[in-house]
Amino acid sequence: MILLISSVVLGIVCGRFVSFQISDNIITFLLMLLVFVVGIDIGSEEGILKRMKVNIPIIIIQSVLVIAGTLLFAGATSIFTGFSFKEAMGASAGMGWYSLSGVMISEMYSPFLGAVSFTSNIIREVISILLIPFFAKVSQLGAVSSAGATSMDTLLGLISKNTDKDSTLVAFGQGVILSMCVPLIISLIFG
Amino acid sequence: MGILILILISFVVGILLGLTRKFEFLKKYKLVTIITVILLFVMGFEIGSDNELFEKLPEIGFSALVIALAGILGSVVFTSIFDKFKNKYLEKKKNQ
Repeated sequence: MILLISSVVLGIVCGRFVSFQISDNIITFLLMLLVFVVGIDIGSEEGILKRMKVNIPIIIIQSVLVIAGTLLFAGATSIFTGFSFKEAMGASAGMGWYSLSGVMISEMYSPFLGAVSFTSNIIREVISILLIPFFAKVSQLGAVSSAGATSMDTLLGLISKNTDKDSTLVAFGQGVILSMCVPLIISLIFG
Repeated sequence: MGILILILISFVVGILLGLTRKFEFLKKYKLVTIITVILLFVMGFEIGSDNELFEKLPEIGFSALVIALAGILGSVVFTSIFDKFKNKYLEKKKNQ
């Protein structure tokens, strides 16, 4: 976990001082590779197909709860910040997916809120990297929920190391469902 | 959305290959850790290269942090409660 945070920090530092464009294709390739390897891991588990079927209702309920929990609690922070309930709620709607939500909110509402959303989602990912190992000791699904939409790719590796195979499956499913919901939710809030 | 589909396909292909049980040798190499490290480095790099973001950071930092913490808290609280109920329910079913 220290390794992971160091990677991010090192990346940020390098990004500050080096002018270099990293190709989107490389990132896409890495994501595909990671998910592929975890897929093999899960596929080689005993009785995994049956366990997948069993987990579908869990994935759905989990996703609904992550959306509800995120939006409600984030909206409530409007008490502490200058934002309205709708603005604060909307800023959290990316559930970790910083690139899309930042851009969408900038276009549909305001670049300022877009920047807040972008930064907030990055922070969510970084905090999740730090805390998922600890959350996992209390609740595996709780740990998975922290990652939000990123549970299917960037944080899937970390989740697979800190939770059981069924929870890792749920993580992937959660990521897929949330990723599909993010553009929808943002459109509903700011449309 | 295209990337979503690519990732889905990669995952499914991985599972299918895993089902054949012929690729267990891959587990020896810490592939997941290595790839995750590279990915996070790249993510950090993209953040670091964003000069506009750094300039605005003092302004938006606090709100962004609070919103992120709240989002995580809400997610974790709701799903942990669900997790406990789910496990209790499954325990009961097992013992019936």
